[in-house]
Amino acid sequence: MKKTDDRFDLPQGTLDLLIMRVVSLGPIHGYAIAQRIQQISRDALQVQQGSLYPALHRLEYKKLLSSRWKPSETGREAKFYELTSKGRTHLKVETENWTRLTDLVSLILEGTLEGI
Amino acid sequence: MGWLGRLLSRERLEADLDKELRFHFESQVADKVRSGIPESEARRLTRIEFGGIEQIKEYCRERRGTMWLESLLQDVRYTLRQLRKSPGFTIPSVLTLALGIGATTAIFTLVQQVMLQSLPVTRPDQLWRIGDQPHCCN
Repeated sequence: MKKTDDRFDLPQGTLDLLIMRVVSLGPIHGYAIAQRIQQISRDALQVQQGSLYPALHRLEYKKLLSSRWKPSETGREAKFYELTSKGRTHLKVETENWTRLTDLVSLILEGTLEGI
Repeated sequence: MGWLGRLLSRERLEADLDKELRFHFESQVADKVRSGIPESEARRLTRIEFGGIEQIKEYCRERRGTMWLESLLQDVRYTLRQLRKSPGFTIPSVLTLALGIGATTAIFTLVQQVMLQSLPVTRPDQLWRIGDQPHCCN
């Protein structure tokens, strides 16, 4: 992740989650994944190739993603990633975990801390 | 594909990795050119943004889980090369080891036959030697 004033580093493990979420929208190649994450986050998150591709390959080896070579929109062959059914389940579980965790963290950070 | 499969199809994986990163690189250059940057400048900028492409490849290779075996093989190859380069060291070492192992094996075979192995009868502990001559039983 590139770090400047209004950008920030991703906590450990969240990159996998973001990648799987973007891939869940349909077959997509690495370059487009990076762009999509950047667009959706309004440039606040920039995924560097040095973290993106190792993560993609790790997810592929864990059989959460599958890949296929086919022509991209420019005509050049690109490696398109897709979620496997295992990946789909994993994404669902991990998303729930993430939501629960962030809810709990903000409950403590922003709550009135009654009952202590 | 398990790690063994990944080890065996290493060349294809390497080619794929190269192709995949090259695609990313070229797309990034193309996007810059489309936004009005001249191509040579776009390439230069992309190269800077990319950082070391070899470094990225190395990170990806680590994910394959075959690095330990690959570096082991590299070490073995390096050892053999070094040994071939200095026969003055290699030949005495090999001879010493060969003679040492050979001699030890020979002595042990003897000891095994004469002292350790019991006689080839059903109950060797009930075998008695009778008589007072040093040689009997021939």
